[in-house]
Amino acid sequence: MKTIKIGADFSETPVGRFPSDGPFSGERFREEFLKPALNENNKVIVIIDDAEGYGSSFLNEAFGGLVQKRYFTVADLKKKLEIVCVDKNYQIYHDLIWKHINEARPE
Amino acid sequence: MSKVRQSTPISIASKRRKKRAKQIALFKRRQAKALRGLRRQRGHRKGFKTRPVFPAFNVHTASSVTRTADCKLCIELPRNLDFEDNYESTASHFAVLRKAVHENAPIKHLRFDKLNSISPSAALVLASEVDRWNQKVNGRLNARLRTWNEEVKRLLCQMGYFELLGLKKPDSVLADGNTTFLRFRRGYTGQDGGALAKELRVEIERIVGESIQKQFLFEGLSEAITNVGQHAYQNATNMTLRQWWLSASYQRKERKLCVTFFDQGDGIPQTLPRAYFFELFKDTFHAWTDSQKIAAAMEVGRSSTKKEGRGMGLQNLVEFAKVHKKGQLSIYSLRGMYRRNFSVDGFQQCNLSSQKNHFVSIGGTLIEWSVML
Repeated sequence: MKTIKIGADFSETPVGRFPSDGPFSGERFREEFLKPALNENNKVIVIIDDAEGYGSSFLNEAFGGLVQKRYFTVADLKKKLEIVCVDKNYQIYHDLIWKHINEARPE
Repeated sequence: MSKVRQSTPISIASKRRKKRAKQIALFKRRQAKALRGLRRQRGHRKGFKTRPVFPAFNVHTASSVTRTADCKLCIELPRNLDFEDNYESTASHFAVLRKAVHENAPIKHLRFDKLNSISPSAALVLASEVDRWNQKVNGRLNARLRTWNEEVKRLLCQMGYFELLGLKKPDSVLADGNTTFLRFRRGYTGQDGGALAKELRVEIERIVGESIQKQFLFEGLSEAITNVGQHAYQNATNMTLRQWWLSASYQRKERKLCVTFFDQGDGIPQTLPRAYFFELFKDTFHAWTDSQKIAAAMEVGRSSTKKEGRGMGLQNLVEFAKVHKKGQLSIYSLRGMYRRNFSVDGFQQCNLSSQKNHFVSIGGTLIEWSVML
């Protein structure tokens, strides 16, 4: 099992879809943190409430991109991935992440 | 006894030759300048019959934009500058200034004498246009403040107009105790949007004096900045042109926070991908207005079409207005305006949207959030 705290391990200010949008983009988080962790562990817990906030482009590329790029299926992610937030203001992002995963179509 | 230096006949001749050469060069320069002026005047007169003198002239600027004898533009700002009640007049004057700066047309004056009132969002757009002009003339602009209205001077001073342009601040300006402003900020695409959005969020919290729902403000600001980088300046070749401007104000008594963001990019209607055939059809026959295009960009489903558009980013802009008791999001892009009002009355939530089309383009995208805290 692996725990990733987005704010502490990646950035407090994750923004954008591609590296051209900024140094802490969704694509970078997916390729450097999420994908390796999901490949190497049976369970990955992502703690989301220590960052400033998230834009849809970041969430879509980081989480929806796992399905879009055919790295994992939605069923795999439901088994392996757990999104955790203590702060109730971040619950909206929890729901959005699963929405992006469920709505993503493999390319 | 001191020596008297005597010049030889050769040195005198060479001095005369140099003097003569200087005179000839000066004469040629003057002649070229006069010719340039004459050509400009002829072009001006000739063009007057066949086409408008300046493409941005219209009924609103007919009396306030004039040319001097040496063909320089004088732009007199109208009595009121705001996008709510005087949109066409306000946008027309900004359009003239923008076009003149873009086409390197010489501008003699931008007169503030008649200007009696200016709204914060109009002040942001004005500051951005004058900032562009100032950058083009390498910061050589100056302001004659004696003729300015005191109220306008106070507002622009509080909003950081003079700091943005590197001008001398007026000496005695009384601050308005009720409203606090975040001074105009200029940013460039390619900067770290996340760090910048956090910095702005902290500054906005400082002027409000209390913690606001940080994640939604951060979300809105970061997506606005990222959208500018991704879409707004697709056709801009020069990196220095890829700029945006931001300002914020907080009214203590009303507990009203207003954040305004402006970019001079291609605009949402132009960058919006045509997701369906009928949209392409309507657009081809000019039946799809700019405000309808902004409304289309706000659709949640637009993102699921796999088209890389502004829809997702614009949805993020809504959240900050939505989570408060009363909130409003206004987007002006090119000729269109789209507005959404949110209010919570007890358990009843109200979500109203309105659209409007104008004749004159705002020259980019203006996003305005106003929320009651």
